[in-house]
Amino acid sequence: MANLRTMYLASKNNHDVLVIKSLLGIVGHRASTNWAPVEDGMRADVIILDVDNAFPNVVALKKDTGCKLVVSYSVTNQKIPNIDFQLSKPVRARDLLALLNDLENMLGSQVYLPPTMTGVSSPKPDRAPTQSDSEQVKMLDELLALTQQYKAAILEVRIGNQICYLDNYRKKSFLSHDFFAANVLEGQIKARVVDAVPQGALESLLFTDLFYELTLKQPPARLAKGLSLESEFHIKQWPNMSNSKNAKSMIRIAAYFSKQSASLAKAARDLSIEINPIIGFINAVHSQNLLVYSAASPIAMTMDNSQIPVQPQSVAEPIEAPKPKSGIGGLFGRIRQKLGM
Amino acid sequence: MAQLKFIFTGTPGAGKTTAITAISDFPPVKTDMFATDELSDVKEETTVAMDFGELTLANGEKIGLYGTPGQERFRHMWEILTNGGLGLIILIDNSRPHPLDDLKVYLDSFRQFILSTGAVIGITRSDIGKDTTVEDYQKVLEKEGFILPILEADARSKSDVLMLLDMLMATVEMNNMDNQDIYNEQHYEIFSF
Repeated sequence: MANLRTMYLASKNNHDVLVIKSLLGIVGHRASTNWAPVEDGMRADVIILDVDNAFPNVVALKKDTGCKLVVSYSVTNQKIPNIDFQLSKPVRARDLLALLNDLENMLGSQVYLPPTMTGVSSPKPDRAPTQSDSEQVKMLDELLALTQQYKAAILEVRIGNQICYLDNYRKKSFLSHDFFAANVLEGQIKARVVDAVPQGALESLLFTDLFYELTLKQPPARLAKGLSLESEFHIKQWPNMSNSKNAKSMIRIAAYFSKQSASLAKAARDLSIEINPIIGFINAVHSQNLLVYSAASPIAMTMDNSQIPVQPQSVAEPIEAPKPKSGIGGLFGRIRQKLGM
Repeated sequence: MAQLKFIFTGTPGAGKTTAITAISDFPPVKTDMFATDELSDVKEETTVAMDFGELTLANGEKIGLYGTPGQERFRHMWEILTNGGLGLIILIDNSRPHPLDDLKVYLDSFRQFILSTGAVIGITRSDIGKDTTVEDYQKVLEKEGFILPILEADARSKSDVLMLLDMLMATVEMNNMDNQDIYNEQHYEIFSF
């Protein structure tokens, strides 16, 4: 909670101004960053613009005030060009709290994103990307592409001086024990179809683990090429987690996306976890053709990316642990405690 | 009120009794009889009514662990045992001749219970029956309209049984999350959370 963000409501309706201020006083400290109302748009990080009445040109407003994001505030949820987020009337605490977290995600620390990639930051991306980073991204994308192109084949893949095998039928990889070492990420990636994985000292690793770990080993965890941060995702089936060493990290994420379509930001908020494991999970599921993704949600579609610097989700300050929402959560918590899970 | 319980079902010999033994506070009460049919090649005894194990939680609550008889001729028992069930663990012996058809039988028999609670699929003996992969099971689930966790598991391994249970509880919790959201939509006022 190191930062203080400021918000200004531009509206001629004094009642609305009062309500927003009151709610901000109540929920402002419950977001991932402290928020406070200000009386002047010139000092605000975010301006909430009442678009049900006459309102100024949004581009000019941003330019004149220097505010970073503008939120439309309306009964109709009408889409306004260059508006970044929407807030519905009448405002409710939970909506405002969700908005604050979304805003903070957009305002979070800016990191480099390659122009062809979508993605988000790792917790502390405090260094410039290196050539090695780019090659890690390239390896993730190229291996994922191989899983998509050869859906029922076994591939021998040469990565620099390393050889691995991708069994696209059983969704397993076979790697040397030092596969994830940094020096294996250098060099061209070449692949050919083979009849079988040769017997040897290679370790078997599920695609679920391979792509989850590859994703998390990137300096900024990124969605695979072709997937968009603005999309909503759900899974067709659970990925294979048999003997997975990452299963504990992925079970709740899998359960979540098996029940609903959601953006990554919403999932992170609902599950109260960092976004990086979610990105790793999505890439892992994508490698097994079990992912379904749709176009951006209405709010996301209102974003004008040409006007907004590409800013990732901030995961530096995970929000507080989820509270059991009902009796079943408490019961299962006690069962997990009993079984040492 | 029926006892809260997890239900273990699945093909004969898949390891239901063994799985309950792995996590129960006491050795499960078994109702086994000597197998006299084709099962006698696989196991000497088989469950004919139910297995019963139990977990006693820190606050004294007791959670039952019930194993159904695997053979379809005891199907009438399955529905009785689900009363009060928190979720279903389906164990399928992958070495059987038609394990995908076996899965369909249990999905069909417990469809309503699964939809109202949740289920997880444990594939056992996958080291013996190598022809049928997890992906094959996933296709059956998709065709039958289910999205359920699935895991190659060794019923003798406590960690595998716990993993199945963890997946099942996560699934049921997410079902509950949906319901809670609906409740929230209907009842929460402006200042409530």
